[in-house]
Amino acid sequence: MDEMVQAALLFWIPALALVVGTGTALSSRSQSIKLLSKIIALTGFLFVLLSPMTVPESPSSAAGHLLGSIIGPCALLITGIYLLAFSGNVEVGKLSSTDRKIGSASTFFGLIWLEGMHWWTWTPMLNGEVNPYWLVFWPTFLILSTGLSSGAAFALRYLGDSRENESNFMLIISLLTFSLTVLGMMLDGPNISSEIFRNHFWLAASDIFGIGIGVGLSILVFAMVIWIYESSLPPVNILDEPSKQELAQAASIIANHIGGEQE
Amino acid sequence: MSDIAKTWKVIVMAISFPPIMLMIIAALLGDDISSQAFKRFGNALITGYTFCAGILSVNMFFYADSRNRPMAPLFGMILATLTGAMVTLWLLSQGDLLLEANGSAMAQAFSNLVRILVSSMAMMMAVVISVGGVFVAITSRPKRKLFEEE
Repeated sequence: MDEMVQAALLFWIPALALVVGTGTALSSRSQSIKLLSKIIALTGFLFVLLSPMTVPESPSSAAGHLLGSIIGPCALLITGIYLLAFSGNVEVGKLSSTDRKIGSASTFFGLIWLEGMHWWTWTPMLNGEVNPYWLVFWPTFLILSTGLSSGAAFALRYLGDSRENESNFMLIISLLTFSLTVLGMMLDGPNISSEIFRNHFWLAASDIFGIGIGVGLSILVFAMVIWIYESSLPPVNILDEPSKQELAQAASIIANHIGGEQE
Repeated sequence: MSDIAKTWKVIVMAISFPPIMLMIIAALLGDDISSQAFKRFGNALITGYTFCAGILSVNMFFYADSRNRPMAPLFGMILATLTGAMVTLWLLSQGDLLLEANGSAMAQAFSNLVRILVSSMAMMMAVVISVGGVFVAITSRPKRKLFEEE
């Protein structure tokens, strides 16, 4: 089979199925469509995961390899944060203290695993080289985490009421991710040198900036279309003032409903 | 300026401050990758624009249906295509947008698609960390008394 056709069948169509299936599963109201979308998304996901073995010559299959490499720590982090959040002081559906311990351990090991991918030998390697998409994922994750955590810290402080402790907690997360990025820029890891990390830091920053402007521009274009249509709508017909007779009738109906004498 | 506008300004500054500081540190460590960075910026801009415009075009059909404006999706798509073409031409006038590993525009487009998916995964994980962190911090705190009993 032709390489392009193979890549289309074993990577691109499953990737499309994963994106479309997830979107439909989240947005559809019909239970049967939801179930079908989940099956489609899961099948697409499995094919993308297997792409380094099914289409090893396609450069895009490195994304499937990355997905397989980061799914473990990401699942641990998501599960850990969920367990920690819902084993705290929540009114409904509070989880047990054992869940809290499991959540703490999951978050901790998830973070260590991700860190080990940069600072130890757990780096996603493909054909003897660092997976190129890991060098997209890791700096993007660090830059956004430090920025968003800092934003969350200030939002808690300025929008919340007596939320200084929570704000400080978020500042610690922001500082931690900030320090990890600076360390990556200055110290060599076993597989990623500080120079390579710095280069990819700039590229990731360019990606974030470009995506932000692109998304903002498209929102602006469609907002303009809606604004043009909305401003061209004909004005609403204004009714005549009610006559004295109509007012009297309305008054009697209201009096009947609030007086209660007839019941 | 109202208080709420000031607050939002502070939050936007708080989000931008750490990445800007990181960029300053990286610049001080001195690497020249401006040409590569511009290419990545251009490709990310076009891909992000196309991705979002595609989703919003579909939404325009719902808008057209609810407001009885059948031509709205077509008008939206024409305007989005024209804007996209203008932006692309402007970016191409600044220099070649093909990254070294990709020999053709088609290979570059596929590479952009995969990269935006990987970047989206990283963005989602960053949101999980920051929003999840806020929830963990809030629910970890002991219950507060809302009212003092008389």
